[in-house]
Amino acid sequence: MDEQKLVKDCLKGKLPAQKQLYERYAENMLGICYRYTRSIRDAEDVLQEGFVKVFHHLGQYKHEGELGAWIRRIMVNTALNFLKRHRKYQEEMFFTEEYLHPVTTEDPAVRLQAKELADLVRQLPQGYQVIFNLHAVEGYTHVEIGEMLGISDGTSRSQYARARNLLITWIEKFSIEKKKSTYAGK
Amino acid sequence: MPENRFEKDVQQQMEELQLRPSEVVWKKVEAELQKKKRRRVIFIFFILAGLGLIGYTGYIFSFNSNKNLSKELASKPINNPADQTATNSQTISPKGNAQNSRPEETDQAALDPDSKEFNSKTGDETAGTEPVIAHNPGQKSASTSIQTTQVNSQANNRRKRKKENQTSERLRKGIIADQIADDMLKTDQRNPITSGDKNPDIVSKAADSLSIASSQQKRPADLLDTAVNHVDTLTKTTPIAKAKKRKKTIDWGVEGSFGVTTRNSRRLPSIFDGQKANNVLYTPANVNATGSFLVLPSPTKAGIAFQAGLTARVNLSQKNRILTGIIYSYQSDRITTGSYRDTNVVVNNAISPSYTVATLYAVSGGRSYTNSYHSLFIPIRYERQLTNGKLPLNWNIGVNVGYLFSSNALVYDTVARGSYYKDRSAFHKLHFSASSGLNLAFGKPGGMQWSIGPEFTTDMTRLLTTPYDKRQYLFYTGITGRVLFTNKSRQQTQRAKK
Repeated sequence: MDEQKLVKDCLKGKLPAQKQLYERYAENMLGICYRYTRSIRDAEDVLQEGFVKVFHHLGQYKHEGELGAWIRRIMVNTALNFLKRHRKYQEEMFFTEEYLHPVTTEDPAVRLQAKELADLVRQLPQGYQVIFNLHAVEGYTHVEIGEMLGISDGTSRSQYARARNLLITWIEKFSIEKKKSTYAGK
Repeated sequence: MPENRFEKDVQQQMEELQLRPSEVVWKKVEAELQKKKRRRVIFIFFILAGLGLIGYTGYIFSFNSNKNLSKELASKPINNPADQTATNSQTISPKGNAQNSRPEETDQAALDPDSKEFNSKTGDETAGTEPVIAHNPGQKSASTSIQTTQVNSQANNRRKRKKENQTSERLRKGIIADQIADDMLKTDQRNPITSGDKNPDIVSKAADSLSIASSQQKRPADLLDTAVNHVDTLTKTTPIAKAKKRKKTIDWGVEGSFGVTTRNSRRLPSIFDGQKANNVLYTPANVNATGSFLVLPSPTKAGIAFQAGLTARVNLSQKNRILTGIIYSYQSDRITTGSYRDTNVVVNNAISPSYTVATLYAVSGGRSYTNSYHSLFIPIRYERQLTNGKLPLNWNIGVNVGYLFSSNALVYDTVARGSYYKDRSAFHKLHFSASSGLNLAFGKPGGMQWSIGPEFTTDMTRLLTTPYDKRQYLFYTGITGRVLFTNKSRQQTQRAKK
């Protein structure tokens, strides 16, 4: 179904159209929610909340960009609000001012599958995880991230650099272990 | 845009990540959507119910103020029954020439309701005889023509039998008319009735003519028809007295209320709960951390509130009433903000991150800011009179359906280390609330009635939409006064009873 017609039908409250919209974007959006949370259950909670918001505010979508991109922004915001509301995430969402952050020139290629990479990202400390997702994956600048999270852009940069270093180390280790297991299997 | 290969690869891989959600997720989404639809339906239902109630009360009010229907009917001019007698005899006799005359010896049988001829249906006994109708004594020669008709087909006999039944029915009516007239005369003598219900002159005249007619052994057709017509006339001009029902009366008036509003995290708080933080982001664990993710918002304080509007009271019985109307409500609460500045900041509490705020208030500072809420609501309350006496005590409880049409309230956000900004879409527009109160009523029964007493209203709908805060409710407490203009017809009825 044409996207415009789909949106119109959803705005009219037609359940089949709403379900179709959900099925079209649910898998991608769950991937996004998965990257911000610690468990698949929390990711599904975020997904559910996010889609309720999507249908509730679908009237605000002006067809100026892709519908998927609009839904994606809503999911990211929903994920951030979810993290703010739940104590288990709040305790880890702690950002300190970093005056010296490590400088690295490493720029390795990533040869992992999407799920493997996502699992590694999820192992980062919560604050690192959020900043890494917002900058590396969603493409927000550090200034924007600072405003979204209530921190300075310097803090965002340093936190991101630390997260990046950590992740690169883990990716290299993971790749080595994966190769070992592959050869061992053979 | 990612500059390095690492970021590019990560972005590419993450965009390919697809996970299949469980079916429970869609069911929950669907349930939420249905809930919102139901809320919309309930809102429309309450609005329609309120409008219907107001329309019904207006209709009842205008109906009571119209002239009494029986008065109009009673005042219509009616022919003198004595005059009508002569008229009917003239109109009937041409018919009697052709079909309706019969030998005199059967007249008495025809007039007797218990006679076989009177009650015959098969027509065997009356086969070959004429229909049982009183004849005009001046038309004796018609019997020959009737004998001629006896030779005709069975269809003619059936037609005649039908006429017999009709005539016998008219006879019955005539006899009944006698009885009615007699009864009515007796009733008139015993119970004088006001002019609004009957026209005694017509009744007595009709009764006189009927009594004359009934005393005669023979019933000429003209008198019989007169009797039938009298019955019709009487039933039209003298409406049957109905059992007196208690009418539901409607009183209209105005009401006003003055009090305070607080914003609380519970639906039924005490107004003395004290100051509460107005944002769910607040947690004790992060109060003092420098550079922490969370910055405390300002606590809220109670603000003044008032209500005013039109009210209608439907009196179901002496002690039970329904109150409704349309009320404007102003509520407020106070917060402390910092300096005001023009800026372009993206806030993260919004639905879409592209939401840019042009003006902000800093979170810390010494400035007092009043959040105002303007709404219209329709109350639907049940009121019960608890005590009797000169100052009866009433208790009311009910629900209100309201619409927040304007507000300048600020919403808190963590952006720029905590700020306040305006976002109208952050507030729920449709509100359901519950209210209850007591009042003392005073005033003369025939004039204006006053009532005054405390009331409270608690919002059952959250003030802010979910992304902002789950638990913030407005709670109003105040003194409400009402002035009602009682229904005049009720006053007249009460005076008449006395």
